[in-house]
Amino acid sequence: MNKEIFRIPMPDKQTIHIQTQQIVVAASKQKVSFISYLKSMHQQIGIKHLFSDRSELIFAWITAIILSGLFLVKPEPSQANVHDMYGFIFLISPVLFLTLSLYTYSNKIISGTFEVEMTCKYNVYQIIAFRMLIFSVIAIMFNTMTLVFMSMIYEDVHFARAFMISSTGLFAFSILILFAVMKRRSTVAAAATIIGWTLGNLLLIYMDNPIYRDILVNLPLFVYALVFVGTLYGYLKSLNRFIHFQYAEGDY
Amino acid sequence: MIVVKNVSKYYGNFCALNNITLELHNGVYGLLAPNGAGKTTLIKMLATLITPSQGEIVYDGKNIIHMDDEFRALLGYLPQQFGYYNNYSPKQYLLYLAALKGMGRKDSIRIIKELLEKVALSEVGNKKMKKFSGGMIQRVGIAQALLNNPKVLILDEPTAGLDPKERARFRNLLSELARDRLVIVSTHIVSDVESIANEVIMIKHQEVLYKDSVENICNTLAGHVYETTIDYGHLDAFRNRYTVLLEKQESGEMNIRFIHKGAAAEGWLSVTPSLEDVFLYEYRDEIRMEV
Repeated sequence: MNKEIFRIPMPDKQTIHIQTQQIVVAASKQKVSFISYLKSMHQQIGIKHLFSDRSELIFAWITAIILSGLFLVKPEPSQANVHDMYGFIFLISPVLFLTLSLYTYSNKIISGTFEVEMTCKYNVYQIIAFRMLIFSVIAIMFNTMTLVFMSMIYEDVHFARAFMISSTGLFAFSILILFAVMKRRSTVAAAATIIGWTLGNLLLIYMDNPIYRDILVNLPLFVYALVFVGTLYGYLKSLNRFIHFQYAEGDY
Repeated sequence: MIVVKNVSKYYGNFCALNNITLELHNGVYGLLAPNGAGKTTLIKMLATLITPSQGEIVYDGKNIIHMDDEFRALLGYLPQQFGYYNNYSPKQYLLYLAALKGMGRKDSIRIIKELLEKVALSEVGNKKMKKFSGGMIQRVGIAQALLNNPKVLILDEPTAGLDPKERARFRNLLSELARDRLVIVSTHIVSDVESIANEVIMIKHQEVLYKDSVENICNTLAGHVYETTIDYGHLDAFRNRYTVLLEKQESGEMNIRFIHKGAAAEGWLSVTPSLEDVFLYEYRDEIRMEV
């Protein structure tokens, strides 16, 4: 009996590579970009449901009012040091954002809704990441308004510089807190970040270090702009990672 | 179909579950074990709340952790302690959860109306939940688990706080739902699953003891369960000699249901074993420790 021998030509390396890629792409889940993920969350969840409880809204308003009050009880314009002002802006810029984000998280833990919400299509971390982004926009708007008033009251405070310092402070702090939550996986690490941020900045303000003062007052604006863009990029990257963060029991 | 492949869970040196392998198809599965046996650990792994230390859980061939939101979109989950926001009404809360489940508002309103009717809460749909009884809260919990018409429904102690009438209604609801989906009910109350479960999974010493139909599990004790009547004075001696399942005082004497794996004595009546008998027999040590 004549045996028919089939000869299958061995594909070249490039063909192997292309076909392997095609198989992998066809088999693996399409990775949704950060922007389109946020877009679909916005469409499906909307802004209304970002506040799961009315008490969160009340809490947000109280925090905003207290923060405004803090700015109002600042020293007389003649007695104010401009570097202290900038240091204060850097320290306080993430406070509204922080309280809004932390309150949400603790409210879910206290109400016992954490587990149910973790098993929803958009889980607690994804919602918090989405809210953080929205809240950071709200915080920037609030900070900007406050800075406009400050630059009107205090002649030495320049709006552009103050805006850069404030936004850099907000994003730098957000990167730190997200890092603490994702890498250290503990409430203690998150609390330590908040305390560290506050004490560290207070120390720098009251030590009146000339280098720190120089950075705040004399650093060229374009350098600030670069730092601002860098922290914004780092913040968005951290948020993207947070969206895919995997919860492990006992973390919080 | 869900396949649990050689799954173990460790917390430090403590082993909560050891090398569990299960294959689960559409229908009702009753996960039965005393408190602390590892039921909730398994349930939480199936709900992606915790990840296995070893092994994997796959749904239609895909690892449920890798499926991420794709799996959660198929999942309905009622935790052991169902939490809620005090100031919300069931309608508001269910609308909020429907949004998190990625459901459109129009569909959500229609489905919520139907679900509230199913769990007999239509009349209090707009009332604040802080005024609700435990049973009413539990029914909101059942409704939220069904919101997205899940393909996999996982319920951890779903009948806690429900009265007998509500329990019966819940069992009927589950039977109806299980026709085209996988339902896993974790409980330590035998009657919750005895009549409706296609299969019962019993966990003992962190491993699967049985995964079989109620009938087959009951047959493991066939010919060993008896009933008899003894004097009250002989009770302690009887308890020491046999595994007593049930004691009932009647006209100054004790009616005893017990297990004996040997020849029957005179006056003993051989009876058909129930799932509760198997449960009490297999977990006798754990139950004694709880007492």
